[in-house]
Order: sequence, then C-alpha cells, then structure tokens
Amino acid sequence: MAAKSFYDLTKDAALSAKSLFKYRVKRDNTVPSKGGQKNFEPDGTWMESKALEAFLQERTSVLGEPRVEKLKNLVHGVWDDSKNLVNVDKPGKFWSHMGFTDKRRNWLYPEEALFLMEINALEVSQNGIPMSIQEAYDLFLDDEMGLTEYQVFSHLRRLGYVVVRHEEQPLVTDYERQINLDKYLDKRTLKARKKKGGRPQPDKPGPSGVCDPQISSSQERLDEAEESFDKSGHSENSAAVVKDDSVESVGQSGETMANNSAKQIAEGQKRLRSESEELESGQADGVSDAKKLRSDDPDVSDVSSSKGDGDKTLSENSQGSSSPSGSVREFYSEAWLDCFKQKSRTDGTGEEIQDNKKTCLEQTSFQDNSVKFPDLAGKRVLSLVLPEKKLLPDNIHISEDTDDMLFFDVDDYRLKNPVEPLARQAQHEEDRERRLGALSFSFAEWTQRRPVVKSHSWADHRRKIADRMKELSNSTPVSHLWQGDITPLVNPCDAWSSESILEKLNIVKPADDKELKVSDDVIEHSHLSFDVHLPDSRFKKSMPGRPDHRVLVSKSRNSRPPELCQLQILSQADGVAVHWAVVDCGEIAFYVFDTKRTLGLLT
Amino acid sequence: MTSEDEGEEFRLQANSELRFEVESKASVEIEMVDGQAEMFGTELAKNKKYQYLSGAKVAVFTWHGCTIKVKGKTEVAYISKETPMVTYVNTHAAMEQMRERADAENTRGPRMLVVGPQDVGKSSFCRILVNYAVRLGRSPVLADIDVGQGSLGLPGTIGAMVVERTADVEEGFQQTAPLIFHYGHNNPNDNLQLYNMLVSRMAEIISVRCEQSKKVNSSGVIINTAGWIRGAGYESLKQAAGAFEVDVICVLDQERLYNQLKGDLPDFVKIVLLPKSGGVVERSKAARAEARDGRIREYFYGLKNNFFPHSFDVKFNDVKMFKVGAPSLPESCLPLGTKAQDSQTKLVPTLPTNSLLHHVLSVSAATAVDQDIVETNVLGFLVVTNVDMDKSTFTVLSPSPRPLPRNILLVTDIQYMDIK
Repeated sequence: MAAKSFYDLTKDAALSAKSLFKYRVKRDNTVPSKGGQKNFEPDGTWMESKALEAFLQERTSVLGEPRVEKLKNLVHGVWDDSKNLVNVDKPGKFWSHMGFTDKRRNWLYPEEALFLMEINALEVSQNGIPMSIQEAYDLFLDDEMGLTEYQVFSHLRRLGYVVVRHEEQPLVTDYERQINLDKYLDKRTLKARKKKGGRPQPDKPGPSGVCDPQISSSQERLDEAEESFDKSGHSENSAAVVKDDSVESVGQSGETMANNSAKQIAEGQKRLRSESEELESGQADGVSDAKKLRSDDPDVSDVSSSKGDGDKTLSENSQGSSSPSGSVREFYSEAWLDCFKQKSRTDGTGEEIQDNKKTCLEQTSFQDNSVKFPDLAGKRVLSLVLPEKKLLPDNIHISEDTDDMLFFDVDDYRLKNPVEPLARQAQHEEDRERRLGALSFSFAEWTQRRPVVKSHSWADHRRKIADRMKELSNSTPVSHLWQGDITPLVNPCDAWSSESILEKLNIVKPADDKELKVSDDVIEHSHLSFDVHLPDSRFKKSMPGRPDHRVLVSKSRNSRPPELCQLQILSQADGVAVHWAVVDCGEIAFYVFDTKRTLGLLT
Repeated sequence: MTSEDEGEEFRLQANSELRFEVESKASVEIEMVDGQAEMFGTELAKNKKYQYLSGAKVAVFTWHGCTIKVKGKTEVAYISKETPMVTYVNTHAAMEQMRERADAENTRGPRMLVVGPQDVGKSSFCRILVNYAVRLGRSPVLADIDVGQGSLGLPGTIGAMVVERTADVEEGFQQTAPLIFHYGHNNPNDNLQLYNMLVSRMAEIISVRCEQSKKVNSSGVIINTAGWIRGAGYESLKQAAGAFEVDVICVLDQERLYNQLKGDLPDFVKIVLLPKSGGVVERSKAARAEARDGRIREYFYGLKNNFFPHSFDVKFNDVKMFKVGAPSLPESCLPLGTKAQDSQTKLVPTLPTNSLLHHVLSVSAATAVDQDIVETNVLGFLVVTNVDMDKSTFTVLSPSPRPLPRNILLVTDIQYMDIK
C-alpha cells in the first residue's frame, strides 16, 4: 500500500520543493516493536483490543511512510521476466558486493534488487512502468529464492555482512590455500577452472560468456529461465511456441530465443545473431537431437573433454618414449595375492592346518644367551666382540689393530647426546595420564599386568596370560556366587570399563550403522543458500575468497534439526561453518553446530 | 662447501664416514675413485657416478678407506670418525647367528622391531641391516609401519616387502611388488583402531609368506616404526611387537623407552639399546611435510623425473569409492555405553564431491565389494586432479594408462598438488 500511495503521488506530478523537503527529512529510524510475547488466546477485553489497534496503527504508519528519493540518486533497473534477473545500466555504489556481469550487461539477482528497492537505492521497471515494492515481492521471489531466503538475506545485509549466493564449486581449494597458492591464481586460471568445472559451454558462445565467478550459477539460471519460458504458457508469445519437446526442439529453442529477442529490441539483434550462429554450429556438428544442444548433457561435454584428454595423454606418451630411461611406474604386481588366498583358506579350514603351520613358524628359542646383541643399557663402556668372518658380508673388514674400534664409549656418547628433558606440556600430559591411570582401576588389566608371567615364546605367553585370566576370574572373592543355580550376570574379569559391563548386560545396543548411512533423498532436500563474508572494503566479487560462514535456510514449521550426515555433507572440506537459519514468521534464529556438534543458539 | 667444476676430493680413512647434504635446487654427483665404500649397507661401484638431488642427505661409510670425488653444491660436507657402524655390524652378526640357528632347526628367523624417537636414523638402520642380510644371500622382509613417512608405499600406508636385492645407492629398495595396506591418514593417532588392525593383518600375511618360502622364513623380518613413542603410540608399539611376535627390539637412543619396554614386554623378547649415528639431522615439522609431498611426487614422477604418469577421466559410475571409518560421532550423541570406535574400521561408501580434489586415492586389490576391502592390500595410487560434478567424472593422475586395474578406490586424507 505504502509504495503505491507514493506512486500515486508521483504519477501525475513531481513533488514540489516544499513537499520534497518534507519527505526528505530524516525520519524516526527506530524499528517498531515486534509486539512482545505471544498471548495464549484472545480474552476480549477493552485493553487488549486497544493494544492491538495501537500496534496495527504503528505498522500502518511505518508501511505508509512515503519513500522519497531524488531521481538522480536512484539506479534504474529493468526486470527481465524470462531470466528472473534485473538488468541495471549504471550500477551504483552497491556494485562492489552485489550483482554480476555477463558479456555486456550488468545483472542483479532478484533478492539483491528487492533489497536495494527496499532501501531506496533502486527503481525497477517492468514494461516501462516502475514497479512497487509489493509487486516486486510478488514477482521476484520464487521457489528457489523464497520469502524465507529473502528474509535471511536482508537480515544479514542489514547487519552489514556481504552476502552472496552460495558457490557450489569451490574455486580455490583448501589445500591450495594451505600452501598459499591462492594468491597466485590469477583471474584467467580461475575462469578456466570455472569453465571446466561448472556448466560446460561448448555450444553457448553467445550472450553469456564467462566473466565472473558467479556466472556459472547465473548461467544455470539463464538456462533454466529460458527453459521455463519455453514451457510456460503465460507469455504473450506462447502461441508461437512449439509445445512438443521431443520433436524439433532445435526449432523450438530457436523460436523461443527469437521471441526473447523480439522482446528486447535493444539487444535483440546482437543476441539473435549470436544465437543463430549457435544453432548453425549445433547443426553443423550433426547434433540433430535437440537434447544434445542442452549444455548440461554429459555426452556433449564428454566429447570435447575426452578429445582434450586424448591429446594430453598422447603428448605424455610421446614424452615417455622419447625419454632415455623410459621406465614407467606401474601398479604393483600381485605377488602377494596367493598369500591372501592362502590366508583365507586357512582361516576357513581351521585348526589342523594351524598345527601344521606351527612347525615352520615356530619361534626359535634364544634363551641360552648364545646370541649376544650389543646393548648400551647400564654400561659405561660397551666392549664389542669381533664378529666371525662368515657372519659378515664380503668387503666388511674391521681392522683389528685399532683396539678402540671394539670399545664403544657410552659415557662419551651420553655426554654428546644428552637426554633432552621432556617439553613442559608433554610432561604435564604424562603426569595427567598417570594420575588418571592410577584412578581408574580395572581388574582385568591388573590381572594381565602382574605378577609377571614366565614364558619362553609368544604363543606360550598368550596361552599363559589367558590361563591366568581364567584362573583369576574363577578365584575372585565372590566366586561362591557362581556355585548356585542363579549366577550374577557380570564376572569381575569382565569389568574392563563401564562400557564393557553395559555391553555384557546388553542394556544398550550399539548404534545402528544404518542411521549413519547417507540416504539420497536427504541430500537433495537441503542446499546452502548463501555465502556470508565479513564486511571488508577489499572484498572482491571476482575473488570472494573464503566465506566467513554459509547459511542454510529453513522455515520453522517444517524444520527438524538437520541430520548429522546432512551437515557432514554440507560442511565442506574447507572447514567453513554452516549456520542454520530458522525463520519463524519473520523472526530469524541462527544455529551453529560447532565441532563438538552441540546445538548452540547464536542470536 | 664446494662449487668448482672439478669437484672436491675427500680422502676417507678406514672406519670413517663422509656426510653431506645437497643444497636445495642443486644436484651433487659423487664418484668413488679409489678404495671401497658403502652407503647404508650398499656397496658403491668404483668409478661410477651417483647423482643426488636437492635435499638428499648422504652418508658414505668405508671399512677400508677410500677416495671420493664430490661435484656440485653441498651443504656442510665433512668426514666423521665417530660412527656407530661397529655396533650396528655387531647387531647384524647377532641377527645372522639367529638366522643360522633358524636354518638349522627349520624354525622362524629373527624378527626385529626398530623403535625410537623421531630423527634417530631408524630407517637408515633398517636399511643397513637389510642390506647386510641381502649381501649374505638372505631375503629378509622389510616392513614399515610408519604411516607418516610411508617409505614403501605412500604416506598414509603401511607396507612390507621381501628384499632380494640390495637397495639402490640412489633410489633405495626397488619397489615392484610391495605389500601395501591402505590406512589413509599420516598420523597413527587419527584412527588407532584401524592402524592396529592393519599392523596385525600385515603380520599375518607376512607369516603366510614365510610359510611359503623357507628362505624368507629363516631370513626374518625387520620392522621399522614411527617415531611416536608416548601414550597411545607406545601402546601401538607394544601391540605391533605382539602381532609380529618379535624376538628382538632395538631401541635407538632412548633409555627411557628401553626401560619402559623392558618392564612391559615378556622377558624372552630381547630388548637392546643402541646408539644413534652422529650424522642424523633433525627435521622440522615443515621438512617432514615436504618429505611426504616429495614421496608422493617420487611415486608418480620418479626420483629424477624419469617416470611419466598418465592423466585420464574416470566416470563416477565406473568406480566404487570408499572411506575407512564412519564419521566419528561424539560420545554425547551416542547412547550411553556405546563406543565411538565401533565405526572406526567400517567401510563407508562415499559419493564423489568437489572436496575430493587433490586427494590421494588407493586402488584396492579387492575385486568385489563383499571382500574385506579394509584388510586387502592396495595395488597403487591415484591423485584426483579435477572433479567435474556435472559430467560425473573426475580426472586422475595414474602411474599407468587406463584402464584402472580394479574399480574399488579408497579415499585418503593425504593431499597432493600436481605442479610440474
């Protein structure tokens, strides 16, 4: 209403100097109260109705405030219905952090345009008629960029953040940033990467060349817009559109494009030319199937990319053959395969082969001290023996004439390599661990530790440890409890920890793995809406850098907390936090799942 | 420092070592013109030129004395008389005695775990011992469970190989058929459960290999470990010792660790403390990261850019992609008493996304999804150089041309940027 009344004012005559001055006076900027807490039910009292009336009046007056701006200061934009974008001729100050450019036009996203309209910086016209804010709300917001998303966008913008649409394709990977490569990636590389990674555009040389990192998503939007334009019947030219997709859609798209261009006479001719070129090229390539014209079809892009790859490998091959050494690392041979096979066989058949195996894998006993290893421990001077000749490879010859060769001065070694004291932090950690270790007593661990088991080989050692465990568990102070018909559920030797007791008692079943699995439908439902950057005068649209956080928008009435796996997917590898904005009738709350994944309220 | 074209001549006396580091972006050529010398247990050929590229750390030891010509820019080239080589050769001799015993009794050869903090020369020590064994006609198994370094596979993997030839003086052990398991992170702590599981699995498979060949069995296993020796790292060392059923543990340069192990392991395991070499250089965290990157580069391009990897597109539908370890849930999200680790070794199918860019992928040797992919070895590695969501393809850098040998890929956390 408010805006309309303003347009009513301006429709017939420009404002007089006096009224202009009146409206330009700085008004009360306080935000009207939200109305306090919600009441449970109307009680019908006079007080209540009065309060409600006052509240409504306040709203009406705020909304009814004329928004007056000098025409000179208003940026003028044209709403492009087919693309869902606003075309701006001469962008204003906001251009540093809003909008994007394709080859020759400046575009604003609808949410940006709407926000600018609301702050009186932009006037958008459709078919030559200025649009009211109400109309803009109606027209600009669609399913993808709905009211909730816009509310979050404008909220964050008003707080001063730089908010851009979420970039699906990270232009600079975390790793590149880590090795400081991001500063050296020039615009061209990024562009090329964008081209490669985003929608491939072998058949889109025309109106939407890539000039901006955001272009790929906008490109997508343009595509979609054109497609939806094809299908929607509400355009005045719809009669001319051939409805049948499967037949002759080359003609269809051509026609639609022609329709488009007819609507925009200013650019129309240029566009038409480029588009007809495009069509010709498509036909020349023998791409008769209209589907192939669509840029997101993998086949088309495959052709071009595989061609490129072929060249690459070819050149590499020739490199390889021309090199003098010419050796190429292959994948490892499968020499160990039969070990795995045999292993699984023996696992399957079980014991008798196990016994067989023991003979050759038996540990050789060296208990008789016939084999002497040099050992520094506890010695001041280590005297070495001259090893027998046959034990040494040829050409190793220890000259006997120098006696000191056979003595290793341990004291001297210790002097030269002093034991470094532990770092203070490490010391602390160790102390803490020891304290904790002393606190938590585990019967089972205790039995394993002492007294020392005498054994002569690992197999023997294991057997003895197991025996001791069994023995000890049978001879607990409460062993008499197992003598009757009714026995306790938990044996003292099972008491490794509280978890192991619970497991034994089977009170709590382990979490089901299925719940951790990613189900496909979850992934599709949620997508990040915005990348939010901190206000920064050096912010560049073309190199937005790493955002401060990303925002996932959801309405309160259909929102459950996001699934864990969903968040896992959304929070990308670069470690940028995902804020979950919940919009409840205009009130916005941001939730963040921090690394410990506890639900925390931000605002 | 030398920079003359003629090069500098070093005359080494018996039992001394020439150590130098190659300056960055330089290369150094060495040539033994007289005498006999060895590098980490591999003998140098006389009058043959060996080339080292930037950052390489070289130590040439001689038992007899020799003359070495060094050409190129080196950092701090010096000769040291103090080396622990005699101690090391004694260790080898003891190992050899054990092998002989194993041969005689037809039992298993010695298995040695090499432990110690970072930068004490664990890998070099292993290389020396393995080389000496090979020079005596043995074929020992060299296992590397250091996921940070990944000297056999790539960082993020553990590996083992049967060594039948001494290490190349320039390039190290020839890796045509190593046994590599996919782990996926460069720190064992990131998924300790998986790490321990893989170490046990590798021990099992090596045992099967030992069963198949008497020679391999009696030659024993030498296991190199990560320099992570405190807290959970220490526990995983104990776990590895148990899994491989080691006979000997060599502790390099840390008495504390030695005493800890002495107390915690059964007494039939020989635990010895050995000195580190004075030539080891401490590496910074950045240097380690760079070494990791260099290792991946070496895998694809070779040490001297002598390999030519291939680049091609792979359709999403043509491969099955997995990640090991479900997203780790915080304890507070789980029902009381359930453990978050339950999902740590599970295979999770992943959808390819843009975040895959620059990640290293392992090509699993498994042929079907119902196999136990986590515990199956890998055949090689790819790097994702581009992801195209619209075309549903991604471009990979691969050691050999298409097609891929298998279609099951495992995603790692390790990233590599392919810059020429």
